[in-house]
Amino acid sequence: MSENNEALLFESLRLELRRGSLILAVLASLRREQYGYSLRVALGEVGVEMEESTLYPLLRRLESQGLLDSEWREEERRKKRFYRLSPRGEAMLERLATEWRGLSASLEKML
Amino acid sequence: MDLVERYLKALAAQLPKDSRDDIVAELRDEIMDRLEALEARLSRAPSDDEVEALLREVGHPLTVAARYRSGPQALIGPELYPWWMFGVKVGLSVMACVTLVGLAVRVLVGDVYVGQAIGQGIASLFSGAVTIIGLLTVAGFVLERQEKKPDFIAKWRVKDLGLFELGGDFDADQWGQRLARGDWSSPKAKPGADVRKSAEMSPVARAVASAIGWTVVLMWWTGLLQVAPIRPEELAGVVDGVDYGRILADMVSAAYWPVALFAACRVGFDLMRAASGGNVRVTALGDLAFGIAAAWGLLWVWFWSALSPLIWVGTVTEFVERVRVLIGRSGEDVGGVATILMVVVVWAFAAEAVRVVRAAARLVVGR
Repeated sequence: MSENNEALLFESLRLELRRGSLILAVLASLRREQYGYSLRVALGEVGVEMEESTLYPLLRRLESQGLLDSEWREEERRKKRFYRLSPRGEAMLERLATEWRGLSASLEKML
Repeated sequence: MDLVERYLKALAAQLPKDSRDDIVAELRDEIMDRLEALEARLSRAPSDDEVEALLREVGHPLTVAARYRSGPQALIGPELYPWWMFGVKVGLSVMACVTLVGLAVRVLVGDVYVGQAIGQGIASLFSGAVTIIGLLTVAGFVLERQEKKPDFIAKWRVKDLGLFELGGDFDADQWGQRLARGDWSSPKAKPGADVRKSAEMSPVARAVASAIGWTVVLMWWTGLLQVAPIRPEELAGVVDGVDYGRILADMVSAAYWPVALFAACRVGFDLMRAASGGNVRVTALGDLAFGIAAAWGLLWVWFWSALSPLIWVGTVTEFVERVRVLIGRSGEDVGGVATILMVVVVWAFAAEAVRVVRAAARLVVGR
């Protein structure tokens, strides 16, 4: 019972901890052009699982903020929407990466 | 494939028109890719059940569509929720007081028996509570969707915090959790008295509390809030050979607009006071005006209303004599209710007079 509770608690804390890093992972993956499904697969392979209902609205929001560019193109007989980091997005990713490394380094010292 | 199209159709209905086709096309592509991957893994076409399970993983159309919306995803968000909860507590407390007073009047007037009064009280408390919570929720819903949250959330002052110590005893969250768990035992007693003693309210906090209170009173008086309403036509109590129901009905119809106007002005004044930061002279001026208005209202009750013939006393001696008779009376004596009302009116008038004098003093001194 209490072991189960511990597992549930860990899971919720883990999700909360990872939530903040999702945007960084998405931006970094989009240095290379991807469409939604291939991006999800690529993120899943490095251990960042994202649901469709999280990823697609996020992509849309990042695009409306000017950090991503997108275009519809036909591939494998289907039209797909390809996303890629915009120049502004690249600059933003650099700043966020610096922030991440700094935070990670100082936390590492604490842990 | 029929399942996927039906799913996307349900989703499309929930999405804003201008981006609907775009979003649906993208999700269709995503789902197709996933189905193909699933098919490759199974090395056969997936069954309907398997397709449905996959769509469930993508999410319910309502949930998915909501994620695309830019506005807040909560009725009342975590920032506003404590304020909403506090408003509910204050509103319900005031309503409970108004209900009790209303019922006390009706029992006194002889319109209802105590047993009936309790029954009606519970019924009207319930509908009143639903109304108050509903109105506060609408207000919270609107506030939650404003660009900028109102100032009182961010720019609070320590001296205003006294108001919030008052609600400390009643922990609604705790009660909610206990009810959800089916735990009916009463919670441990909390140290409430010390907290209450320290509850010194600042002018702004008092103005806000007063505005909320008078709003409830105004709503009750005008019948917007169905709490123990005064319905003159139903009142027919006869005590000591006097038809109080008739008198109350006359008084309510005569005083309806003045009282409604008084309460409305009071709410407006309190809100203005809260917004302007509670200037002492302005507050004093308002207290003076409202004190005079209330005193005049009581004078009206005393001298000219339908109740006047019963409670009118010309001299102090006469007043003292009537009170003495009341205290010393035995069961069969008549006129008890009239004397009690007389004392209440005279007392209230004296209190208003004192308030007017104090307000005038503050207006002059400016403190």
